[in-house]
Amino acid sequence: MDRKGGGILACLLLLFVLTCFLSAAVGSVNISFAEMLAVAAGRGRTVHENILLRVRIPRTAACALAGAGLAVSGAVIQNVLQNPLAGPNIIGVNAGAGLAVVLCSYFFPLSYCLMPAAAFLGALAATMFIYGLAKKTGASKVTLVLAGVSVNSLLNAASDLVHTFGNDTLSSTYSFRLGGFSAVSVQVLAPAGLFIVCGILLVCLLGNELEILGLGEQVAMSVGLNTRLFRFLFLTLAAALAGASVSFAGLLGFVGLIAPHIARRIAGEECRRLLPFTALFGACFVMLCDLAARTLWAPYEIPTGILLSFVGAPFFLYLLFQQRRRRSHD
Amino acid sequence: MIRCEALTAGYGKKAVIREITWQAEPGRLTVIAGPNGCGKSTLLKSVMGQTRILDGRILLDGRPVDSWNARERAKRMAYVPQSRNEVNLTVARMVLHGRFPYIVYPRHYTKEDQDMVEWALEKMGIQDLKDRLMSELSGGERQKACVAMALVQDAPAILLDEPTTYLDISCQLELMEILKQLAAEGKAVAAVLHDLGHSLRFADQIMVMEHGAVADAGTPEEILERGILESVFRLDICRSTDQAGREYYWFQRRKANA
Repeated sequence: MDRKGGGILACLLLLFVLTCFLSAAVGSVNISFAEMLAVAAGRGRTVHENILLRVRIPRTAACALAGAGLAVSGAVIQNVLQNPLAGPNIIGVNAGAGLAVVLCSYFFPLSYCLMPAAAFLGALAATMFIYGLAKKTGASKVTLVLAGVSVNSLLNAASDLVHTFGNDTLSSTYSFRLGGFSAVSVQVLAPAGLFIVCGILLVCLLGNELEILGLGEQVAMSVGLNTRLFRFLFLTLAAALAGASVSFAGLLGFVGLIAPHIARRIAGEECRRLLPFTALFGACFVMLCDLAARTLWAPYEIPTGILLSFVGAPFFLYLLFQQRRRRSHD
Repeated sequence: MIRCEALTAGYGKKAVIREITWQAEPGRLTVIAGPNGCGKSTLLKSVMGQTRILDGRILLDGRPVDSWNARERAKRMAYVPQSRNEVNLTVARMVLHGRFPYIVYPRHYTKEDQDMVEWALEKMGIQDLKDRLMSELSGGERQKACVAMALVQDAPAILLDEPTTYLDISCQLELMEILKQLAAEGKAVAAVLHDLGHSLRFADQIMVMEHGAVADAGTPEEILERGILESVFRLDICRSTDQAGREYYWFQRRKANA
């Protein structure tokens, strides 16, 4: 990475550390840095220790992991589908994971370890369906997004149906649909977090391949990339990242769309820069949104997903109009 | 060396090209010419393994092309497609990906790869564009960057699908001279071209296709003598030579009842 890229990465890392600190420190009870150090040294007050270890740190970790996972998933999907409007929540990947989680909760209510796997399978099925649709029909970028919107609605309707029949066992489904971190637990976070960290590392390791795939099928084949294998691998990884994030954060929208776009503007398209930037930016973005969601309207806490939608939907419309303007110029 | 033997290929079960026997020879610039829809691009795509082979075979260095793994095949032939995605990579970075077939553990491009990029950019005369984004380039500059990417693949054969499309006449001539020079350096260069003037002037060998089959093949002189271009394209060709010995061609479409 060159000096400029290194400088920007250092700034983002600093922002990440600061955001982590803010997320852990600020809330209904504010905890100072000195008190955090005291807790770390085992000399803190019990109430601070409980708040930090049982609530704030798991919640901060959940925000960072979900943000990074969804952001990298979005970057991968946009690259593989060669569609800047694609994002895991736009084309139905999150909704696929959501339906699978709801089904899993309905049939196996206490099997927390099954959630990430179920979410992954749901996300994968939705991803492959959309990819198959794009390949088979040669749909344009906007048409693909429209198809994704209808798949999204269908999967969400199926989730609602399961919820209607299993009202008692799925009491937390409503907050799951909105997306948020108020009910995050370490049991669900731990296996999903492992999925996300490994997934992001693997995607970063395969940065050259992802970049070449973005050059188009024919160019990628001509330089010796097994396009079929890598496209499948990347979509599987994207589904794993989105599915694992959804399994504990619920249907958080727009992170996978916004974070890669902003990271691209800062870092350019080179995956060796883009992917770490996207992951860090996504993590910071979700942590800040979560912080705002639980502090701006205190003592009320609004689900983080609602705030993300308020930010993300106008951003998506902006991208859509930009895309149309570009097409009309062409 | 690339050799097609009685090749029938297409998309799905539908054959687009039939019974094609052709080879790209080292040291020669071969132009594949023919009317729209006659299967020129399909032939190149078939060689690159992007269509379905229904009959016959394609040999690369004596072995069926699909028996090579993707990277080994890329070391033996490079391909410049007709169109590619608009990307926001720098020219140097995109060209560097031409070295992908040679990348080994720890999966980083080496100093040697970077040197190859410098060499290719210099050869194409675009070294001053190396830090520019591909999306900011003109059509001609972009096409040169694509050929530079094929050059760093260091493959003995280069296939190009309509490389002069969208280029102004000056860029077209410059690109044709570069292709001619690559052939003179020993590479087997094969290009699908629509411009018959360029084909007759620069090619060592022309293969004329019609309705998915080979209508004729030979040197430009032989092709002109046999009048195959006139009958395939339904036109008259006039040739004249100036005092410096340069040849010029004019094309006149034949009337429907002529």
